Amino acid sequence: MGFSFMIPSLLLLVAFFIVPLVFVGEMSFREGRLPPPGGGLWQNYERLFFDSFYLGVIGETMLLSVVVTLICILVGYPVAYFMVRHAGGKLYNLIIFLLIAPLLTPIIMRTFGWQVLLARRGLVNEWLQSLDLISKPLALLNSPVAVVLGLVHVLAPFMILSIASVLAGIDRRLEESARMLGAGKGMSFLKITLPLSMDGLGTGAILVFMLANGSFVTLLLLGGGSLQTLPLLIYQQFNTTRDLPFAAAMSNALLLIAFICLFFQLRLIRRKGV
Amino acid sequence: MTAFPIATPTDRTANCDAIDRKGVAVRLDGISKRFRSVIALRPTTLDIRPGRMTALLGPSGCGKTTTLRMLAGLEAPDDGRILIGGADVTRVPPNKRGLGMVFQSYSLFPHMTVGENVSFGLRMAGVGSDEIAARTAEMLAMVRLPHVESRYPSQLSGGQQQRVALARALVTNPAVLLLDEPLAALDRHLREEMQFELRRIQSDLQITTVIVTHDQEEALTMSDEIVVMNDGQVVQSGAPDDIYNKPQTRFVAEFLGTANLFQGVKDGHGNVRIASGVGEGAVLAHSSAPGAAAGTVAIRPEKMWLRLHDAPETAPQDGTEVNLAGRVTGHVFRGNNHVFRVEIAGREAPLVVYQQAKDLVGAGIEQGDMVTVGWHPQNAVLLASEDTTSEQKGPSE
Repeated sequence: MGFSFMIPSLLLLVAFFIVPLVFVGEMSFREGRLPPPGGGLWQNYERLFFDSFYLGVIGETMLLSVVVTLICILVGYPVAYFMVRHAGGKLYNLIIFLLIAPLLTPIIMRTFGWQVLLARRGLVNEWLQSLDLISKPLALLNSPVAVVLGLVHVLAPFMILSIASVLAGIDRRLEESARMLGAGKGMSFLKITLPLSMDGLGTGAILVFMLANGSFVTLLLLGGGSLQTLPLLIYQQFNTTRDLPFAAAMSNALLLIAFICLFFQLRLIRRKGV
Repeated sequence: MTAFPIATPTDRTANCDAIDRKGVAVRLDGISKRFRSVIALRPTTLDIRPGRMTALLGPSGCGKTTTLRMLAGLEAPDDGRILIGGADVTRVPPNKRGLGMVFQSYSLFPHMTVGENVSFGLRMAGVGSDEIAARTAEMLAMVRLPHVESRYPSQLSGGQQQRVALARALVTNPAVLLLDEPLAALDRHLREEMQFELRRIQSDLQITTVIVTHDQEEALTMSDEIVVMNDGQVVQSGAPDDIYNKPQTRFVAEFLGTANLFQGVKDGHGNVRIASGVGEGAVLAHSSAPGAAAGTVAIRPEKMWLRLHDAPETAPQDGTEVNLAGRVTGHVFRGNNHVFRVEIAGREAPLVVYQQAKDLVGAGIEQGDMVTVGWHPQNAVLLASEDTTSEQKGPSE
C-alpha cells in the first residue's frame, strides 16, 4: 500500500503540528488574566478585536507588512527583470547565489549585522558623518526604518525568485509582436510583460506579506519597541504578563490572516492553471 | 501618434482589387550581422519585389531568420542599410516601421481575447473605437474566423491561432508582411490548407511578403521568388521553377528536392559527357555556357526513366540519351509515385529514380531487377563551379 509510506510524516504532522494547534485553540478559550467584565467563551477574542489598543496593533502589523511588500516589489521587480532579460549564464547564476546565500545564514545573524550597521556609532552613521552629510548621528536603530530595512533584506529574495521564475517563462516573441504592432518599449512592458508576470508578482507579494506578518526576530532586535506588532505582543504575553489564553487568541488571529492569504494564493494559482 | 497610415475599412475587403495598396519594394543594401564571433549574415544585398511573396529558404543557421529580424527591426545590422519603399529604416525601431509579422509560435497574447489581440495594433495607433470594432470584425472575416472574437487564444486550435496571428499582423495595413516559419507548427494536412489560404490573402491584398522557411516544398508552392541561403549568404535567387530546374550549385540542387550527380567534361560541341567509368562518353547534358571544361551535372529523379533490362526499347532513341545499366536495390511506394534506388556498377552513390504510379497494378519493377536508367540530356543541368560549403556535407536526402 502506497499509503503506508505516508504514516511517518503523518505521525510527525499530527504530533508537532495538529496537536499544538488544537492545544493553542483550546487555550484561547480559557479565562485570561485580565478578563473583561462578563467574559464568556470568546472573551479573549472580544478583547483583541474590540479594544482599540489591540486593534491598533493588528493595524500596525498589517501596515508594516504592506509597506514591506510594496518595497519588495519595487526593489525586486527590476532585479528579477534584469536577471531574466539581461544577465547571461554566469551572471545569472551569480545573482541566484547572492539571493540564496543570505537565506543560508540564520536570521539572527543578519539582523545583528544591521544592528552593527545602523547603531549610533555604527558604520552608516560614521560614513555619513565623515562625509559631513550629518552633524549628529541619526537614530536609525530601534526605528520603523530599521525594521523595514531588515525585513526587506530578509524577504526580497522570495519576491525576486518568484517574479523571475514567471518572467523567465514569458515568450520574448510576445513582446516582439507588440513592438511590431506599434507598441514602444514602455507600452509593450505595460501591456504584455507586466500583466503576464502578475502571477509571479502576486505569489511573491502574498509570500512576503505572510512572512512579514509573522516576523519576530527582526522586530525585536531592530524595532526596539518603536513598532508594536502581533508577534511582539504574543511574546510579551508569554514572557511578561504570563497571559497564555490571550496570547493563544492572538496567535490564532495571526493564523487566520495567514489562511486568508493562502486562500488568495490558491485562487491565483488556480486561475493560472486554466 | 499614428505611425503608419490606417486605411479606411472599406478598402480592405478580402477581394478588393488593391488600387491604393500597391506593394512596397524592400531593399537590403549590404547588410551583415554577427553575434559575438559567429557570422549570422555575410554582407548581403537583396531586392524584394513589391507586391510579391518572396521566400527566404535555407537550412537552420543559414541566416534567413536573422535577415527577417533585421528587416523587422528586431535586430540591428552591423553594416549596410535597409530601405522600405525607398526610405532608409535602418535605425527605425520596429514599432515605427509599420510592418506586420507572424511568428512560428503565433505569439498571440494569452491574456487577451482574440478580438483584443487583433485590435492591438489599432489601439496602439490610437484608432477610434468604432473603427477598431469594424476593422477587427473585417479581419477575422478575412481569415474566415468570424465568431471567435471573445474567446481566448488557448481555446483555439493551432490552425485557428495561426489565422488570428495573420489577422493581427494585417489589421494595421502594414507595408510589408513578414512570416517567420508560419506553418512549421501545423500538421501536414493543415499546413497545405494554410499554404493556399496565405497565398489567397497575399495575392488579394497584393502586399509585399517575405516568408522564412526551411521547407523547400513550402517555398516552391507559395512564393513568387525564392532566395536560397546557406552559410550566411544568398546562394541563388529566382522564380521557383528556375531554382528547381536550373540550380546553379550542388547545394541548391540537393536542398530543393533530390538530385543525382555526375562528373562530366565538355566536348566542345555543346555537350557534357560522362568523364570516366561506366558509360564513359555518353552525353549527360547540353551546355554551351563558357567556363570550366569539367563540372558536375545534376538530374532530378523524376526526369529519369527506368525500364527492365530485357524490355523492348519503347522510347525512340536519337543516339544522344544516356542509358546506364544497373540493379534495383531499393523500392519505396509513396502513394503517388515509386522511389527506386538503382546501383550502377563502378559508381559509389546509387541513383534515385521516381516513377509516377500510373497504374494500380504497380510499377512492374521489383527489388533485385536488372534495369536500364536513362534521361534526356536537355533535362539535366550542368552546375556552376562547385560551392565549397556543400562539399563537406555530402548529398542530402
